[in-house]
Amino acid sequence: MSILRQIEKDLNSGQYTVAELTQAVLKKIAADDTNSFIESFDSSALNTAAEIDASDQTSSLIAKGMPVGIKDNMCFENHGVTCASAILDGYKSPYTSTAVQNMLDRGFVPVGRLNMDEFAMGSSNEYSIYGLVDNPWDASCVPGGSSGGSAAAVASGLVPVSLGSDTGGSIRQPASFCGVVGLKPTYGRVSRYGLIAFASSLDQIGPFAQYVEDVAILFESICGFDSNDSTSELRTDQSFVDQLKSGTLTGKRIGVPNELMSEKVATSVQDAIRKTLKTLESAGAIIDYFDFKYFDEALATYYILAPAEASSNLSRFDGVRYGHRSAKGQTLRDMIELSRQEGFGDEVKRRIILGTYVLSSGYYDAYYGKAQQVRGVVTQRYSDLLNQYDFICSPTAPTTAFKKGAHEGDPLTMYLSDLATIPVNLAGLPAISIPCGLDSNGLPIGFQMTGGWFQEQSLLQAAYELEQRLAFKPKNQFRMDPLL
Amino acid sequence: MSNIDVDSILDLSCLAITDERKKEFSGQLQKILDYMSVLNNVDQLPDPQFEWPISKDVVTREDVPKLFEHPLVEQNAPDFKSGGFSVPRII
Repeated sequence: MSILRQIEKDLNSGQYTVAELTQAVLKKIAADDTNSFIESFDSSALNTAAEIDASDQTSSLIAKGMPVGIKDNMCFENHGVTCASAILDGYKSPYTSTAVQNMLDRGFVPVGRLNMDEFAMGSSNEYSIYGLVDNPWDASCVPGGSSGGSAAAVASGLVPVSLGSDTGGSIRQPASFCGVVGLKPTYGRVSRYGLIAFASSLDQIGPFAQYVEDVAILFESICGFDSNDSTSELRTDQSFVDQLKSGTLTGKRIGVPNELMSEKVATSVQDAIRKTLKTLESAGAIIDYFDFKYFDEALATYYILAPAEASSNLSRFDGVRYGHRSAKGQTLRDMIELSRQEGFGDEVKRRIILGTYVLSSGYYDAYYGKAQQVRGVVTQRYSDLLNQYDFICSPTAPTTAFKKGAHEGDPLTMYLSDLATIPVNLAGLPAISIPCGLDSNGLPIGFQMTGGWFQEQSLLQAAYELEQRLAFKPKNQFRMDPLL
Repeated sequence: MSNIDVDSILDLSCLAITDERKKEFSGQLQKILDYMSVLNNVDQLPDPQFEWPISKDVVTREDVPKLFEHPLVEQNAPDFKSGGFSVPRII
């Protein structure tokens, strides 16, 4: 199943034009009450759509004319970008990020920017100056984070695909909570140029969709080498759609960490994962269980390294060249301190303080140095495991979507919800979350598959085949409504 | 992490927060730092022969200075005068 292919078919048969499609999507966004979108790009989207309609229609690019939403941390020239933070309120980007440019070159039509946790720091989308986002399955629950708007917009059927970013699980966890597919690519696959940095050694842009095939189409459109990002990888394997349906699960070795099938994970989630593992087994995969050994240590490592990098990256927000400037500061120092106090939210401040602390003299070796050591150990552990297994599979998150406000005032509990996703970022591996069932409250459960470095092709093939067997029913499938 | 520690870290961070937040953050950060002690469970070092499979070949480009004259540079600036960013007095 592919929504993008259905739209392509409709466009090619003349059922509607790109302009009509774009107009319909913009109307849906305007009428939406989930708060997924921060802003719609009405003018530029309609102009782009008109240009596509007026251009050569014989192009074989499937992406041509497809509406897409982008997370509010990716630069798009002459458009607002704020990272859902008051410190960037009113800021417009003077350049376009490589991922967005690659999408534009393929013919995608960006229709708006999507809500998120401030500076991508959060797991619930509750830390946004634009307010909470409703989970489309249950409005009293969070959509996950930090790419909560990106996941909810796809799950609501507002857009067929969207872009998010994943530093510690920010694509996979909201994909799990909202019952959609989310891919975190190998570090270096997608250029980070123009992605407003949170933790540079961990950040990676990736796609959301309701089906694996659409994730593959968007992923293929955004990846590739970029000289503007020194961590961008020069790869020859950049075609993921053509071979998507030629994989097989038969004989694939699947490793499952015992720790993520224990009391750390809700029983309903464990049950759904066991059922999915049986599906894999019936398809010919070989299931094996192992002790990963380092989940708690990986979580601690992440919450040292990510804030440390963030404290450095966010030092650029000083009210001098762009962003919010306090009217109260009489001296330069006062102005910078007060601008940051007024502009940053509590979670960002907490992480800046934590990051500065672990990098400060006297604590650097005990925290930052030790965390770098453990990161190496975790990465090496993955390397050993991926010599034994084709994929490592687990729940994406220990629970289904939790209630809004459930972790208020308790950041550590919130951090623990990233237990299953964080180690993957430390090692820079690719991983995908696909919906595999519902709990007793009717909330979706995500199944995480992690592959070897740059093995997105086999990862997408396996996820595609599993998706066909699971036949998960999306909540609100995107459709072009002629009445809109 | 005591209140005094928070003050010194705030100074390093060029960040100001209210006294109420200082108290709240101190407790939360202490809890987080206590959790970090699990790192002491790991006494092994990564094998020095092990090579991270990504970013092995960093491709660099020539570092050429570029003029950044987009009209939004001025529009985004909180205070822009005579072609430069204006700030309060330093001393």
